[in-house]
Amino acid sequence: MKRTECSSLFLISILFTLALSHPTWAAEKKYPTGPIELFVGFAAGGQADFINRTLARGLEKHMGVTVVPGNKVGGGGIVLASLIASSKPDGYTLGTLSDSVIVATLTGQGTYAMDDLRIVGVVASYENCWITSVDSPWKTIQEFIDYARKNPGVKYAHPGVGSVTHIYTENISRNGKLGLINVPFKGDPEIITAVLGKHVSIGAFAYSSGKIQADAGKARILMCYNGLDPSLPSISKVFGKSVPTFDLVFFLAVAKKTPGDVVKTLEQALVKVTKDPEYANTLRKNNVWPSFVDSKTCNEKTIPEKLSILKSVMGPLGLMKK
Amino acid sequence: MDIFAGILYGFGVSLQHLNLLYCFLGVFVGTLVGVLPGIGPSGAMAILLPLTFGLPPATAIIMLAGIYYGVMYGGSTTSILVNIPGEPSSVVTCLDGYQMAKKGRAGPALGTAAFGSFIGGTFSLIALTFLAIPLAEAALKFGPPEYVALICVSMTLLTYLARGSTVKAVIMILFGLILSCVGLDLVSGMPRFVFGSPSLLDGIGFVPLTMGLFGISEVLKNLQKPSEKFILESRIKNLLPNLQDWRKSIGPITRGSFIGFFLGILPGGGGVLSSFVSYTVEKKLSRNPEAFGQGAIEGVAGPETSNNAGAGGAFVPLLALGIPPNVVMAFLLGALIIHGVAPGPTLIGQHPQIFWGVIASMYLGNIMLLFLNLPLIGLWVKVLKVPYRVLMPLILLFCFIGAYSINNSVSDVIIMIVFGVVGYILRRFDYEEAPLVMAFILGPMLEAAFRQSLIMSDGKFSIFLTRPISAVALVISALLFISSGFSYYRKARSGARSHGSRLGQGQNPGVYSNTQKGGEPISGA
Repeated sequence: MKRTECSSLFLISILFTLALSHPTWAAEKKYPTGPIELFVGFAAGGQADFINRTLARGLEKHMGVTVVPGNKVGGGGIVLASLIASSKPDGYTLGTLSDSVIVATLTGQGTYAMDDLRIVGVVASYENCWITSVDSPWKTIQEFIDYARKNPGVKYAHPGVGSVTHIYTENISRNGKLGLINVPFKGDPEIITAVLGKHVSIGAFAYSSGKIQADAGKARILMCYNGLDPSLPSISKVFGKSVPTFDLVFFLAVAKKTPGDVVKTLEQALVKVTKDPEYANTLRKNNVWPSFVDSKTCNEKTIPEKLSILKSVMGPLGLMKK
Repeated sequence: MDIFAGILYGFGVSLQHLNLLYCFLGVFVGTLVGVLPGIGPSGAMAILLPLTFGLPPATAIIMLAGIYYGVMYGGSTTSILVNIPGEPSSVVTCLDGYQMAKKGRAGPALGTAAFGSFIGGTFSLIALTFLAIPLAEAALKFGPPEYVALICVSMTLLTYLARGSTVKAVIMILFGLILSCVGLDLVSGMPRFVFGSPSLLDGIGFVPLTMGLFGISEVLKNLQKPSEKFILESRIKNLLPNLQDWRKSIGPITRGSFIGFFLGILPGGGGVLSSFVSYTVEKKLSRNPEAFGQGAIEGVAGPETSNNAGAGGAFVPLLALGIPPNVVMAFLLGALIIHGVAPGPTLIGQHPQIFWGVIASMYLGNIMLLFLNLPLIGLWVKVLKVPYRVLMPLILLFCFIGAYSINNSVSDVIIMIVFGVVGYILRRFDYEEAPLVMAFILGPMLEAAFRQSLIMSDGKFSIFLTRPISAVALVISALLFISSGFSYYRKARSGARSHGSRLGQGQNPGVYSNTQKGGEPISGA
């Protein structure tokens, strides 16, 4: 009996050691070894989803494994951010997040903290713009501003209270002394209808959607927020320093505890993807811009700056967590 | 390119081998997706989208469009056979379609649904071809105040959905309104009834709600009372609608086509609102409204026609203006963009092969669907022969997979189960789910439009009366409300006089809030 006990103990300890050493076996094989899932927090068919799918194709090309784009809709990106924050930190679950995720930590709706996420880098920039119907009385942004200042209470449409667009536009209205009143809608198509049907004076929403209407001659773009389209007036050109600006971006994120070398591999892949002309052309054709900011700069400069601008705007709006 | 040249050109495009093949693939997948509860057209489109990347844009859109209206055909199958709506737009078909199936008339129900869908779909296509551009412009005039008025009209019709007690229907409407409040408030962005759960931030999902209320509760009910048997008709002659069915259905089909198409154009429209309005209109116009809810074929013909007509109508703003009126159309828009086509008013001019090709392919698709669905009726009816102890678990399985597949999220499945239990309890006490579901959809639309209108008017209520469309619709709604109030009052009085002993049972047709034409009260039970 003693011998069988001894040998079974021996066998068990061998198996145990083998089992324990398995993860190190896997780690010796270079990441990535299998398919990666890349999620976006918005529904299929929209601007965010489009960026996500383009990024997935780019990553697949430069990392040599299948990258599967998916949608985790909910709360304007909150559900996805929670998911990434609590996902297994092995670099196989990635998220394409937008600034709405940062906003949610300030309003208190997020069930995660920015610290639970590890930002790998910025992947794309987009623009917001103001559109008005083609037969509205304002032909230039200056005409509109003069009108708004003389007649406080001009209505603008936006995609939802607490959305990045809403917050940014309120920022312009308050600091630029325009006295605009916001009318919330659910999503870009409703805004287009409201603007073209002249139920509101202007609409604030994604440039990629506005350009389509402007090119068709149905609407006029009065202003672009960040000046990414040089043919249109930007906030800084029109308002100077009185209205703070921030970049509108999408960034790639993983769970906080993801090992450093995995993050480094992802970051290097991102550099290659964002420099790839195929990626750039696909985005540009749809009025989105490729851009890249590395992980270190994101964490040390970009995100803290954005947080402070957002706080300064959201405080007076009453949107901050109590 | 004028219209007739365009149509001919479109048929030229759509009859090419590649486009025919993908059209068939689309409608076939759409029918399957429509039959399976849970997974909806957007889910199927998302999965099949990568398939389209190597294809020319017209072909891609032909296939995706095929999925959309194919779903409208297939959704009625499970509604009729097992009282589980395969699609939100088939919820209303459950009311009478299932009753018909229980009486052994599943075949005619399915056949009427198929023919009605075909006629509705074709009608909306013809209207789309000729009226797309002027209609799209007119639809722009519908702003928030007009929506308020339109939904007021719809809400006064809500009580017509009820088979039994009106009081219970009103309770269900209120319950539906409360449920619809869950989520983020539109104007303040503050969460309501969310209880700190991120999965409730976007509200209770419509699909898990209906699948639970109708599907899971049906399974639970059958567990409790397994003795209900289906009468089966196996002779082919009885599998198709007979002449009498046709005579009864012509009116609903015609009206359903118009109602569906025009409601489908409006943002927020599409299949659901169209089917519901058609049902209530048919019930109001019918000579014996108490047959509704017991297996009236008009209750299948009207809604099924209008949900397909609504699908066609939904293409109007998308193709003409680049504005998607509902989620599925938004997906098509995204697909167009991915293929490098900018949708919008320039689509017709710059990409005529897409505009006319897609329209022509929809005609062909509708014909394909009719041929696909009719012969299958015999097959579907045989499903009812499957013993319940096999059928019910299968249904449960499909519901679970379906609910999970919406967002790959377990919380949707949990919501479905919760509402399955709720639905079972409601049924035990003779409460009906249909008014709850419609209130659940209409409530948020009404609230959003109302608050947007007041912001637009700086708080003045007069905005609803100074705008012509909204004023007219509000007057109609008021008239409808008063007229149903009158007939309810008259009914209650005559009911109290002659059927005093039967008032308490909740079955007295005198308690219905509708009446025959001419205002004659319905006598007898």
